[in-house]
Amino acid sequence: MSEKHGSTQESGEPSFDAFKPVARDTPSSGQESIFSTGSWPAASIATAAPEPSPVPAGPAGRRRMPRLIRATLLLVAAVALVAVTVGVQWWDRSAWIAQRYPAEVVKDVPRGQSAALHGMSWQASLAVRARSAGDHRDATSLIATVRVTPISAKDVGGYLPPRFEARDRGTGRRWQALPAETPTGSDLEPGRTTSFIVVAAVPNELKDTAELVLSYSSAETLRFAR
Amino acid sequence: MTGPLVAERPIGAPPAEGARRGRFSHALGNGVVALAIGAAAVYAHTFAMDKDKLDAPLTSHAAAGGVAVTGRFSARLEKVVAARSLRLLTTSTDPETGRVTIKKSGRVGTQDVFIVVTIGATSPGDPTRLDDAWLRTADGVEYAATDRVGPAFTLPHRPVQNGWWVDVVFVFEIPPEALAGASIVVSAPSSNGIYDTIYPNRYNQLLPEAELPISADRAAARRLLDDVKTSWQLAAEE
Repeated sequence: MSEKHGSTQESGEPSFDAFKPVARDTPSSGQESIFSTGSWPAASIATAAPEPSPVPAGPAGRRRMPRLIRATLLLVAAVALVAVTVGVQWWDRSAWIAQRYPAEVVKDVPRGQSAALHGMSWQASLAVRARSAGDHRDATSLIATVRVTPISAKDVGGYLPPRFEARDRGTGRRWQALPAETPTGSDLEPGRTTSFIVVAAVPNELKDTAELVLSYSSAETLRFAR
Repeated sequence: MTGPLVAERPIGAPPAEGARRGRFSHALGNGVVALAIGAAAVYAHTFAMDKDKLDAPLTSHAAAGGVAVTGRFSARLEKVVAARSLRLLTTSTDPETGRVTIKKSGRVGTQDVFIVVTIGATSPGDPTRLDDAWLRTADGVEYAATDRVGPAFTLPHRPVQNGWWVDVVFVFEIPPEALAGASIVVSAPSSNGIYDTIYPNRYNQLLPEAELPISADRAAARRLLDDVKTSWQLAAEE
C-alpha cells in the first residue's frame, strides 16, 4: 500500500488532504533566488550561462514549421480557394446556360422520305429556282415544296406552323426561309396531304448542298437531306 | 571576477517587458493589415459598373468609308445624301412586261435637313436584322430615324445574311449644324427569343453595334451640306 499526501481511511484507501503539509527541500542558506519557488536550488545569476536550445522555440514555446513551407502551404491554400470559388460560379453559370439554351437535337430525314413531328408527317423537296431580274448576283433562290399530313384529328387542332431555314451542314451557317403561303389548322384534314412553298436564298456556291430545316424548338428539328 | 550578466526566464514565469511589447506590436500589425485588406475589399466594390455601363452595347468603330465588324454582322456606309424634302413613290412592276408604274406619290419636307443613309451589311453566320439606327452627333446627342418615312421605303426588316451584302436605308431629320462629326450607329436586336417578348430590353446588355462616321472631317460634312438636294426620291414596291 502506497501512501499519498493525505490520511488513510479505515478501508485502507488513501484520501487527499489539501491541508496536509508537504515536505520539500529547503534551499540551503545563500542559494535562495527571486526566481525560485524555494524548492530547488537557484542558479547563480552571475555564473549561469544559457545553454543553446536544440529546437528554436516561438514566443509561446510551440514548435513551428519552417517559414518557407508555411508560406508555400498558405499560397497553395489560397490558390485552391480561388479556384474553387471561380469553379463553382463557372459551373453554376454553365448549368444555367445549358438549361436555358439546350443543345439542338436534329433528326435527319433521308431524301424523299417523311418524318413525324408534332403529330404531323412532314416531307420536303428542294429545287433551285431559275435566276430572275431582281435576284442578287451573289445569292440563289431555293424553292422547297413542303408536304404535311396530319396523323389524327386531335393533332390538327393543335397544329402550329413551324419555322423554316436553310442550313449548310458543313459550316453550320443559316439562312432565312419564308413560307410563301402558310396553311392553318382549318386547311388540314387527318390523313390528307397539304403542300405549300417555302422560299430561301443562299450563296451561289451552296445552291446544290444547302438543306431545308424545319423546327419547332431546338429539340424538335427536322433536316431534309438533298 | 564575475561572468556575463545573463538571466534565463524559468518556465511559468511572466514574460519580460520587452517580449510582451514585441508580441503586442506584432498583434497590432496583424490587425492593421487585416483592416487594410477589409477596407480594400469594401472599396473594390465601388468599382462595380452602374446600370448604364452594364447595359452599354459593344461598339465596333470604323474609319470613314470602312467596314465595322461585330460578332453578328458587318456594316459599312454606302451612301449619304442630304435633302430638304423627300419624294415618296409607291410603284408596281408588271411581272410579264417588267414595266414599272407609279401607284402613289407623296412629298415630305423639313425646316432642318433630311439625311438619307444607305448602309450595306452582311452576317458571318445566322441571319439578323438591323432594325434600329441612330445618328450620334459629335457631342453625344442621338437622333432616332424619322417616322415620317414608312418602312416600305427603307426596308429596315430586310434580313442581313451570310454570303452577300444587302442595303438598308435609314432617314434622319436633324439640324444642319449637328452633322459635323456625326456617326450612324446600327445595332442588331437581342436574340433571346421569347424572353425578349416577356421582358423587353431586359437582356439588351452587350448587344453589338457598329458606329460608322458620316464624314471623314468637318470639311467633308460641310461639302455634304453645300450639296444638299432640294428633293430626294425614295421608292417602295407595292
